[in-house]
Amino acid sequence: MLVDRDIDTNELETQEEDHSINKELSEFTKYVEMITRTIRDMESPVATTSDQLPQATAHLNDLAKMTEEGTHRVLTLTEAIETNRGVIHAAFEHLKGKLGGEHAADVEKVVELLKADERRLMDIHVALSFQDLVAQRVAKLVTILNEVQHKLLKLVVIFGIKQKKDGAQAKDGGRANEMLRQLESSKKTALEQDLVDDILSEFGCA
Amino acid sequence: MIDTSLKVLVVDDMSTMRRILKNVLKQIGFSDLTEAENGQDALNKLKTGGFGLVVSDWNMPVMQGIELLRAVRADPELKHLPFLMVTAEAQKENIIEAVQAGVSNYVVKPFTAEALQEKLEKIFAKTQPANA
Repeated sequence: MLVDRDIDTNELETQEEDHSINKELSEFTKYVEMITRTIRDMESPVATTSDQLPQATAHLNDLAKMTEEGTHRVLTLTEAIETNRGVIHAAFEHLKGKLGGEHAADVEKVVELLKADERRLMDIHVALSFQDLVAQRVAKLVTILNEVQHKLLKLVVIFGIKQKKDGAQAKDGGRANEMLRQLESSKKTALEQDLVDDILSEFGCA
Repeated sequence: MIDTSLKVLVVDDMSTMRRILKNVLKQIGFSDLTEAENGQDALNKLKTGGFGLVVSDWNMPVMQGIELLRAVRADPELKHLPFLMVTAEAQKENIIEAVQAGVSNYVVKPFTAEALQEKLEKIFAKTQPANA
């Protein structure tokens, strides 16, 4: 009798263990299904984003280049103004030496104004150093974007995500894709002013 | 008093910054100004001799400003050169690192012409009694 009871207890324990393993396996299967579903949901945004990032990076680099060119243009103009201001200053100093009394005092007032402009011109030069800060921040952003792109590409390769065609991308990319499309389009299609003038003159509007 | 007869090396990877710094230095009175676009380029130019002041950025490709500073301080021919760091890298650690490397003074971008002049005056105030 005692032996029979022992056998019954062992069977019961084995059944309980089986039940517990089945329950865990079932939960594990549900978890794997959930992960698979999440990966499937992720495929489209990952594919779209990995397509958009190189474009976004290129536009950021263009931005830095444009601010650099603009800054050089302003510097060229202010340097020319500074050269003229120097010549005018010297001429007035010379004139002041030749004149006396009230006239010399009037010329001195002009000289003072020219000196104030010299300081202002220098302040404009120094204020343009914002471009260097912009370029440095853009460079850091580009580095971050490149890193993100690299990681996304790894995901694309690991999960075998297929890149979508242009039409599908526009739908999935939403607003970001539309903005990138507009940026790209303005880069390719925007004409230089002289070309615009040529066209206008052809139509008699210049 | 700033010795404006000295030959100055302006080091920055951004062409706009080199131009801005040169304009400010010209306004202060310097006329002998040379440019370098990174630390390595600067070091090569410094080794040709004749320079009396270095004005350098920190963050540059090829060789950073801090590495240039260390190379200058390690070179027996160049180690006494006044070295002004003009940079946007203005964390406490950066400044400590620069001081430990032997920087003469430090200007944070964005800067004003007055700030640059004031720092140069401080550098020359320190160097002149020793040279006299």
